[in-house]
Amino acid sequence: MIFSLPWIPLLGAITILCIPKNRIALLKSVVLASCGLSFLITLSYLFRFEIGNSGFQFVERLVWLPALGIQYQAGLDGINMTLCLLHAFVSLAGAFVACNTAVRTKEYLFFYLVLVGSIYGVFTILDLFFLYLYYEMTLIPLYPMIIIWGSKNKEYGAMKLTLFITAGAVVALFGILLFYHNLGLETFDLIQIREVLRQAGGLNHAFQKFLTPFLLLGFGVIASLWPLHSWSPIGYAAAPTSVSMLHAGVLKKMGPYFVIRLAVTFLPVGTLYWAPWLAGLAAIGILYAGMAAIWQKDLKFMVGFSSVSHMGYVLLGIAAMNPIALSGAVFLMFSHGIMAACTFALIGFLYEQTHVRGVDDFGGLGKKVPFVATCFVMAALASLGLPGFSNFVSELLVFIGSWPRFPGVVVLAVFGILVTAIYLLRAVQQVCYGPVNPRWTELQDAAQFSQKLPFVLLLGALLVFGFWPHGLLRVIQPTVGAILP
Amino acid sequence: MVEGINFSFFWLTLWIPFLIAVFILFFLIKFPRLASALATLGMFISFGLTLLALPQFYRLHHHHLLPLESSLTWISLGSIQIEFGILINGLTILMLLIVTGVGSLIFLYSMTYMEKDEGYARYFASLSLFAFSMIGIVVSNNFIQVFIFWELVGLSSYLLIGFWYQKPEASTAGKKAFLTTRVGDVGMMLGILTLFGFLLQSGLGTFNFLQTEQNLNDAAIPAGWMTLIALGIFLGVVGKSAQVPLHVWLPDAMEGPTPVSALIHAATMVAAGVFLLARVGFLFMHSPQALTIVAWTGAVTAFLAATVALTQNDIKKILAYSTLSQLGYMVMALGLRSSEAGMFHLTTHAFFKALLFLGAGSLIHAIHTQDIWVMGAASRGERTLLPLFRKMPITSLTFIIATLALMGIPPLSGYHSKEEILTVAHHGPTPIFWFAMVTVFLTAFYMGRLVTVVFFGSDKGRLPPALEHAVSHSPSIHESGWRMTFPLVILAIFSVIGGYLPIREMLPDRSHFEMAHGHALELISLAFALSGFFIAFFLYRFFPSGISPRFAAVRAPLFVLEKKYFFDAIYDFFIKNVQDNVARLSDAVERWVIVRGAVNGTAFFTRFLGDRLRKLQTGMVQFYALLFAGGFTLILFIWILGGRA
Repeated sequence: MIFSLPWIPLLGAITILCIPKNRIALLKSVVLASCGLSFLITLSYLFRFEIGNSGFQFVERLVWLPALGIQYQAGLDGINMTLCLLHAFVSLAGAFVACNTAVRTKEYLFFYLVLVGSIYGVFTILDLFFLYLYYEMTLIPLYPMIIIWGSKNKEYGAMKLTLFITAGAVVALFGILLFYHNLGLETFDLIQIREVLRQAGGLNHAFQKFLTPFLLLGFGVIASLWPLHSWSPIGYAAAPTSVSMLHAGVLKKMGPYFVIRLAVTFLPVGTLYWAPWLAGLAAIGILYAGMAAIWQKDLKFMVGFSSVSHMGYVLLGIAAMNPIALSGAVFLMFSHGIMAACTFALIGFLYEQTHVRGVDDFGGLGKKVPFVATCFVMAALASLGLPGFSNFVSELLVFIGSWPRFPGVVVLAVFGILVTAIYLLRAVQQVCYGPVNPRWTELQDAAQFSQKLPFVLLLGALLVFGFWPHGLLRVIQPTVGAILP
Repeated sequence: MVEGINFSFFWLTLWIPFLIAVFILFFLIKFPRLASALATLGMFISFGLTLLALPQFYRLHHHHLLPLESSLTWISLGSIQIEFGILINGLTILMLLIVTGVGSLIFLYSMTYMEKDEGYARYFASLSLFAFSMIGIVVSNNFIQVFIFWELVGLSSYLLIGFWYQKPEASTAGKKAFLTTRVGDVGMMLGILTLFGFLLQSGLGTFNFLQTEQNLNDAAIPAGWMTLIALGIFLGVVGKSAQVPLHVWLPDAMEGPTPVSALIHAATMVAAGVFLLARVGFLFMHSPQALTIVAWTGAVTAFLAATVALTQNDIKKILAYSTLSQLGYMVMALGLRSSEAGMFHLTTHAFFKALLFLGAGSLIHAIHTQDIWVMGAASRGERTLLPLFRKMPITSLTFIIATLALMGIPPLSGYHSKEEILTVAHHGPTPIFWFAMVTVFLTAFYMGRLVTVVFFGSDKGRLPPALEHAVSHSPSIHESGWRMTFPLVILAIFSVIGGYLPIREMLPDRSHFEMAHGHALELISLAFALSGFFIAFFLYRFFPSGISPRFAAVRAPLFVLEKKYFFDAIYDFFIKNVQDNVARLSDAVERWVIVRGAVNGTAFFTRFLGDRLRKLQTGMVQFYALLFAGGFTLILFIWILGGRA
């Protein structure tokens, strides 16, 4: 039942509305149960996934508006299977964090489940109409969540994040409508469109070249393509922890996902034409955001810029339009999503107790809170692309794959891993090493199982696929190979 | 027919340290004694397994059936296969013996040395990880695998150099080691990518060493690119093997526990670079320009580091610069196309440098200082002849043996390997030869200074008050248990006989140019070494307070040496003025141009527009009617015009 992936959290959200707000334990169990159940279902799909099949699997279809060619249709291929898995991990880990919300718990958990459900919707749906619908639906809970439960300049952050992403969506919508009309098929069915285009040999080249920038720019905003990225650091800084986790971890991956799903698949000639621009902007983003991250004083801002920088590698992998680089890009979306979520969870854990998150506010946490500090070091190492974590493999594949087409950009990107190491090791040193800061004698380590689980879950995923990348790559690769011309 | 080699030995050798590291991390953090015993046992097992494979190896080697490899596919993406495998040839076996052999002694030694540390279990987990990473580099059969373990060695050194992470200097040194070597890794990655790109063009996209070697001629890589590829990979070597100009991390790495320094300096990490040069020597054979640069880098490093070692007062720093200098020798030999001489020296150096560091550790453990002057003074209190020899006979004796080996005094191991290197250098460019020769003198001088001050110092010297205080507070000095002295003795034995071990025979006979062992050369280098030693001996025996106060002329050059040729100052300047400013600029662009200018500007413009357009909503019906009429007329007009056309 692929439909159940978005519907379980959405039903959970409705259930929460029916529970009195003082039954906190019950509310939490609903959230954990719905995220846990979706997690297990996603895993079951991964195990049942037919390796080597490049098309969509587990497709289910519900005719909705036949006159307009709209149907509720869902299914998985290698790409959205990977992203569903990413979301399954992050949303479950985030659920544990969200359950710690102290004020207006019920409302927060309601919004959280709506957000989780609509993201599952985006990643499973195979109909352009509902894809856009679910996408817009993810934006609805975000705004109140940041405005009400956020911190530090939250009004500005929420406003900016929402406006940016909405603006991007409008540009992209315009592109999608153009595409729909030019196609003349009167259908939003992505599988059918793909089939027809394949038989017809693709759209008119001039039209592809004209249309692609709308999609690249519109979705590039979500992927924090330089220079459209500025919502991202401040948005994450303002958002509550579990929203930062979901946003940096999963929502941001929608941008590249849409680019792959729509631009790369349906407009290969156009994407190829604009690819040098995309690669160039990606390279600027990698280095510029990396350098900016060095200068940040606030950990959340640092990680925000870091994620802009890392998305550059994803975009570079897409721009290369080559199976290896694109597999690397999809794999990196997974790896980076997990890592970013873990980092935000850690910062949130510290912030909850200390209400500070400056790079130099801490010190000596290795001694004071060894578990959290170890996780922090591991997340940083994953982020700087250390072998053993899946981030390394994915970045490596992006480099190898992009090299023949954009050697110059790859040189810059490889320098990016040095810049990443600079700001992360600096942060690790200031936060975890050195003498114990006397301000935080009261600081508690993650002791309970439910506190440790999110970190173990996320870092475990990075390590498993870091040692055994084939486990995911065999899922990703056939699809990627079939998409590219 | 000879049977193949049993690869399971090597798989076990590789994975045992890793599994132990993980096991300690998860289960034994609270049981430090058990952790240390397990880790040490694991290292000895790895060593034993390597020894067990030796007979097989010799049989195969004898029949010229090497190299052999065994691998499994790690990543398979269409045309690209990335393997994870084991490549066995003489080079692998030799390095494995060094890493696991010297490694096990260092593990054993650490059991006593680190006994009272609260991070005892963590220490052994990191040490095992270090051994795993190094063994991984040694057995790798492809570029990507080497790069992976290369990075893991970086991680292990980061964890161990910064082991006492609460000490700011230690965590800074760890960070510095990681970042400096990563500069090299960037070059290495780019070198590998370029090489792979060319191989892919020629139809065989592979990272495998043997396949690359076979296909290199067919790939017809342009000479300029070949040089770039070789230099890219060499940059990785410069980082890990601490060659000028990326050597700055190594002296700082002394912040780590002393056995770690021994491990880094003898068996792992810095040896990795030299080993890689030998492993991918076939790339360099295609690029004479790259080889020239390699040779010069080595020679310059050997010389510069030896000069800096002259002025250091910290025993570990002196040994650190000595390592730099000796690594320079090895790199130089490889640059002069003799991987044999380089690897030979690497082996003997592993024995005597590990011995020197462990000896220094033994002294530090007993005397609680790293300053050679304090060490010498502390042991001199009772006015007996050679007091340290009485109190710590094993440490003192083995330290002297190692010193003589390092100086290249016959018939110790260092003599044989250094002689080989000098012969190679003699066949190379003249300036390089003289760099190498002068370094022989300098080496003898700084080691002579070190042992004179520590072991043979006269008690006539007046100590500064600060030192007097330290001396009077030093506890009674004695040897520290068999687990620390046993490794010293074993290493001393090998430092003596190392030159007679069949090391060169193990290496692949690639560029086996038989060299005449000129007696003249031996005599000259011996004269250089002895004169260096005795000059130092007399100077520091009779001017114990140092020479700079007496000879004004040497002050300026000494200042340059004490500042280590300003490398650190230049890098700090670069970081402060370039890197930080670029970072600040990016941040400022973000703040003022992108956010304040573009984004908020757009918002402001929108609000401004809204504000002005609002004025149109006057609320007067007449005004609306006027607008309506105007608009209607306009549309009508356009329509009519359009209709006519």
